[in-house]
Amino acid sequence: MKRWIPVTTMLAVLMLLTAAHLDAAPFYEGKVVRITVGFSPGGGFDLWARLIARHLGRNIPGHPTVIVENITGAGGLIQTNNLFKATKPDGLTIGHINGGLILSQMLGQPGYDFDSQKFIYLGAANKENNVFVFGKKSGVTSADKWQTSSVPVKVGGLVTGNFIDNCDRVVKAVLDFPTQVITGYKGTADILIAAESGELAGGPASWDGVKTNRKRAIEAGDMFVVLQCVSKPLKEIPNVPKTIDFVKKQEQKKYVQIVIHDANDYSRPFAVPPGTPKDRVEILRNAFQQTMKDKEFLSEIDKMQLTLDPTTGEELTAAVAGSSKLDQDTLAKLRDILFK
Amino acid sequence: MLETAQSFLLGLTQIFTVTTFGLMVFGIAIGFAVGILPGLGGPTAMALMLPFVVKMTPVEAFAFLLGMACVVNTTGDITSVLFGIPGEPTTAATIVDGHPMAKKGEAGRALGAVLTAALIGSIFGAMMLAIIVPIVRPLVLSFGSPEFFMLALLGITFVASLSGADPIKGLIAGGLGLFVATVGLDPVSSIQRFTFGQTFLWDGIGLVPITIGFFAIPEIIDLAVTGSSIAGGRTGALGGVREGIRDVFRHLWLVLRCAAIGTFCAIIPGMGGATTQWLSYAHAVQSSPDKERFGKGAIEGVLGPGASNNSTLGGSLITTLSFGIPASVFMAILIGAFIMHGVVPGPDMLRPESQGGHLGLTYSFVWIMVISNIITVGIIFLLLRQIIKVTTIRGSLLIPFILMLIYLGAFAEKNVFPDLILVLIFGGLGWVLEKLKWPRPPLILGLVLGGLAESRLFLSVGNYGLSWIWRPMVLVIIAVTLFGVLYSVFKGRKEKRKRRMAEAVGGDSKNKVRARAMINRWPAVFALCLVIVLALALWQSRNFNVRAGLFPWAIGFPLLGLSVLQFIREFSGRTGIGPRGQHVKEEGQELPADVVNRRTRNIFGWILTYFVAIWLLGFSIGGALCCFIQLKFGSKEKWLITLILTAGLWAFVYLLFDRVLHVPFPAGYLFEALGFAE
Repeated sequence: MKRWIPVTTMLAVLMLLTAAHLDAAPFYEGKVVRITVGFSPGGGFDLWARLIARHLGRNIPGHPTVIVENITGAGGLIQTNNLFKATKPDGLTIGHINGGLILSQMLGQPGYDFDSQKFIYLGAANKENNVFVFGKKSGVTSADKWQTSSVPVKVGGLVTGNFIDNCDRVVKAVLDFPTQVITGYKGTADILIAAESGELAGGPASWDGVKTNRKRAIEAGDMFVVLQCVSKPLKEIPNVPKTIDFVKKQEQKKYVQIVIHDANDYSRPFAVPPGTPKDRVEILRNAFQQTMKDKEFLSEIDKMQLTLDPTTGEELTAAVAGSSKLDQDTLAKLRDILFK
Repeated sequence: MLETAQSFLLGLTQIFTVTTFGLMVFGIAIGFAVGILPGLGGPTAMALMLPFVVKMTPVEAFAFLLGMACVVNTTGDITSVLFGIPGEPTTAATIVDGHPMAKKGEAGRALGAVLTAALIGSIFGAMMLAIIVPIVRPLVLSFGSPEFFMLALLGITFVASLSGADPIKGLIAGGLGLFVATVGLDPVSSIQRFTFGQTFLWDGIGLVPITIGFFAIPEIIDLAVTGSSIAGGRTGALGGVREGIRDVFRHLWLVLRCAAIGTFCAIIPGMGGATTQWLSYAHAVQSSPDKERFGKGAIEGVLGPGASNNSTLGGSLITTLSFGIPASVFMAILIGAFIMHGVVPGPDMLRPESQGGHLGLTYSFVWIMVISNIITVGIIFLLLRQIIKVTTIRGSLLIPFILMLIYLGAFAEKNVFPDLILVLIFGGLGWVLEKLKWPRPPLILGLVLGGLAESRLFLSVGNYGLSWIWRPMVLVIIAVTLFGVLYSVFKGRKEKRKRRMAEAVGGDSKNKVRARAMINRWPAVFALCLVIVLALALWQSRNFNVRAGLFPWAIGFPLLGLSVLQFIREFSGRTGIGPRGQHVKEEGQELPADVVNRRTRNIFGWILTYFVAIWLLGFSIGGALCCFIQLKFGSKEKWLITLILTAGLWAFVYLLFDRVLHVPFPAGYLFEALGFAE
């Protein structure tokens, strides 16, 4: 990293000089922009990165080629660490980060070699938007039934520190719903099958997936969406209560805000490494916003039945910064809630 | 009933339009190449192709994607058999007996057998898809975590049959696999286990670097040491293809059973081809009366995995279609394509068109799978004579390419460089195991099932306490497991008695004496190394909490005990078995020991040189440079052939992987350090 500094400075100065003297062609002309993804093809992150890659280039002056690279492992951490430490900040590499890592990094988990506040956020196209889904066999057909259940309600999780588990833990430890978290499932698809078969009562999953692949089951009354982990209700389910609706004390509100609302806002960000030249950041941020309104992009989103829920780079920066000013007590309490 | 039949025929007629059929053939062509190239997985290819699918009709899109999906395993088998490198992660088990056949000059027979078995397997899977679809939902929903755990346990007991002549070695190898499976984040508490602070180990040790290291590295060493072609001059069996096809029908019942294992395991979400191929292999060994032949080119060991890795597609498609839940990465991408075309996977897929469903489309999948496999296998059979000739090419010309394929395959799965180091470590281990006659498949089986067993055991206890043991399905699987174990113990005794009688008639004392002399030192050293590594690992695990530690301890301590026992046996020279019948390979051309040692040192040097060159100079430049030096100065080839092959290798890596497929190769440490990386 340090080795880079003189070289990059020199390059930057050189480029500034050339830019000043010549009315040069756009920087991105003839270039290749890489979007790195921390997961393999087949998942949501890869899907969105490729979707955006197909339309982003058209909206950048100079029309660069945009490609996607999968650098997989450790839930996206390898790619994110790599983006922070080992990527040249030249505006040619963008990372589609797993936002779930950001909270764990703030809480000081080992292995997180990046600083989420120093990333430069370009924007996000969607959010995790988790909802709690229950199977018919559980008898939990509403949030009230869950809250008043006489026995602990079994909900599924993936691994401690994951956004899915964090949602479970907040409902259990902050909202005090009678809950038993059973973690260790391989994915939310496995949780949903377990809910259908009655092994689990239910669990959280992203609404984007639930609304397509569980549409019939929900319409038929075989599955129930009882709680949504978002700050504003989702368009299709305005009547399903939100986690924040069950908050009574100010302190509870704080945790719901940090673990669920803020984390949801920055759950699917696109970012470039710190030190990327300001003018290129501007170009990329504008291009990202334009892509969000791009007709071809929108028609493809529509065709793939995905939900567009964009956030600007500035909003993302604010959401991340909001969670970063926590005092030691709050951090300790959060560690208790999420990792114990 | 009539409507179903109509849908079935409608599905067939839908395929035979010019564009649909054309796209299917195009998909097959892509899948063909992807399957042959190690590291380049089917899912990556599909993700790259997804955008083109948007403009097609549903039947066209699926003809294209499924055509591609169908053939990767079939062509992946070719790489496995010919080079001993898994063409796809799902075709690794084919190596164990397929590659030894190629080395005996029977590549034709092996390929003929594996392709025919693959064809039968895929048709079986497709037919199951057509038949079983109505009952699949209750079937899958009756499988909870306890049943998953028991299935994993049942699979692990297969270790016994894979152990070969020395059960203790087999148990240790299987235990090692289970132990290696605990590397990474504990699936619940996310405590790091044996990761040495390395993030690339958080997900555990991947199957791809292990299988490549385990099988491909020893094979390339062997190729370099014998100094001939893969087939070792035994090229008489090019016409063995027909024999291979005949083998399939000789063992048709086995092929069908393994196809069934593939299909039915794949129906269960989370069990993909990477697991089922090993279960089928184990089953092939288990059901054979003569287990000693396996690992040395037994035809059944090729037929089993060949049939099952192709039948899994039908199985995982069943789950995907009826639940809308991807049973594998491939299926996840397929679902994306479904949704793009407004087809929502789920019960609708099973209703005829007249009732607003898509049954015709579902049946068209069956036809696509059957027809594209017939086309693929047909094409390969036409080319087979040319393909097999690879095994007669001089080894020194092949080695640079095989080495590059090894490293490319290791890297391109996850695009993470440290996986190359894993290949080296497990390559070394694999070579030692091979030399000391330890069985390797049990280790792989333990590895693929260990993670599943651990997470599902804790999920079972979390969900049901201890009462899960009394679930009816669990009891059935327990009964099957016990039956399997007892049956093989009983059979083993019987065989032992037989063997003892045979030995009494004509003992091979000469062989034994030589074996004694050879055995004494290294096996004991290796066993001691195992003891030390295990003891260190267990010492390191002392800080785990109960949740994270239970599994490593439950496996680690008995394993340590067995390793100590093995050490004592080796040290005192009481291993009980000589290398009976295991010197088959060396017969014919026995090389002098100093030549063997020199060549071994040489190839080890090259393996490391390639690694260092790739690390310093990147894949394309480092690889090409090594290839040039090795050909020109290592094996003293002529200038022309050296330059042509070097250019070919460079073009293969740079143009195909870097430029066309955009594999994110690291720039090379030297370039980065000097500051002119791209």
